Amino acid sequence: MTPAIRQLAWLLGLPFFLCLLSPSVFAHGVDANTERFLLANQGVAIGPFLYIGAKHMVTGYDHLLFLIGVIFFLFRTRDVLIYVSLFTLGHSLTLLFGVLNNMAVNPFIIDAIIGLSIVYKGFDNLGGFHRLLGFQPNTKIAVMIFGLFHGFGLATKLQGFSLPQAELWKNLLAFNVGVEIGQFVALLFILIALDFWRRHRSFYSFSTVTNTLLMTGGLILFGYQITGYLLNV
Amino acid sequence: MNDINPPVPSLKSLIIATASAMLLATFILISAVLPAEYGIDPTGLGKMMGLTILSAQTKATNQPLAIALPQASEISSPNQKDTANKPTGSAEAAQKQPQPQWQDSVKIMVPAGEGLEYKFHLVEGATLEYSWATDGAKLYFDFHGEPKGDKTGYFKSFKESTDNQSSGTLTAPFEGPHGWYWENKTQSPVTIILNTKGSYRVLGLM
Repeated sequence: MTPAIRQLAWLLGLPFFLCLLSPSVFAHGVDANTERFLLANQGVAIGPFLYIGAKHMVTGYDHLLFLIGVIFFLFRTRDVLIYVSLFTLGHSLTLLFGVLNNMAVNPFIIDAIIGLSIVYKGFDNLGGFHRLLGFQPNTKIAVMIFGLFHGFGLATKLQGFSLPQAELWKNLLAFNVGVEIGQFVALLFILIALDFWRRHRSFYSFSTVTNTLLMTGGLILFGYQITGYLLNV
Repeated sequence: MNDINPPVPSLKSLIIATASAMLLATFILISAVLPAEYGIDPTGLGKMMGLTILSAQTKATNQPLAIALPQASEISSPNQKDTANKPTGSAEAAQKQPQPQWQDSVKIMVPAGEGLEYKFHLVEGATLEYSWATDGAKLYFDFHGEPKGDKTGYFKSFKESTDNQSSGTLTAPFEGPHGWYWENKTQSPVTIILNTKGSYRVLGLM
């Protein structure tokens, strides 16, 4: 009886936990205060950019969904570290490179690709590639490549602020470090939740459903961004 | 040993999972996301749930504009219906007013104690010639633009003041929505007549 209740508690608790995160889905990127700061800011501001970076990651449901997909079947701490480091390396490269070289990437296209990265990972977790191709495409390379795209997404967000060019790299680095702090905090919550869930049989019976929902989320983001792209052409 | 080995499913369950993900995503997109985000509502479900009003809300301010919208849409001429949830529609009707020297002319009502936005989509370098005046009272306004596709909330202010009229020409520094935020701090509604000319696409009330 007790395990059944505990299982039920998790079944009810997890969506509730996700609901707690969901206001960010409707929230606007930055609030009025951040906006005022970014408009007025002319120089180096390490603290604020750290915070904006961290906040972007913690409230960035697209990055979070992808991370959930990546670590869903990672049971060892070591593996989590390897994959998350690859992701971090990927997105830091393109974030720094994109902003410093002032690369203009269409944000809708980038966000659509980020949506597809979630679909890819969901499908991968379902064993889809193994089934269709007969072998498992290298998951490490995949996470690294998608990291590069996520980084371009971060870069376009930051470029939107039209940052002061003088000593740009300091603000940029602060933003990047903020992103990693935010990712670490978010990962902590995701890992704790996953770890608890893995102790229950429901994790295995619901893993297909969860990854199907992950694909659904990715497809929704993809459709949302592609529509935005088409409307803004 | 450190590679992931997710269970390899049967082809049937893989197809079921993929197909249901696509179906669910399509359903949520069409019934909720597109109506709420862009006002695209082919099924009418979005309107039924009152979601379309969200797409008209401003992205640059945190003003409770949704409340202002039903009243604001009273600016339209009588040949319109369903304006309550489609504030952008009211602009089209108002444009029909004859104003030979201007391309578009729109009458906008700002309810007492509230703020609203009216925008135009401009590509980089496009010009917008404008002139607006209120029926007397002064309004706080912020004439600004947001880069296309930006979700960070960044905007560039071109003119910010409190006045009962303003006119000039804007050359867009970047592609994206450009327009005014007006705030009526008085106790009674204020009507603005906005005349515009240039190469733009009217986005209307936000």
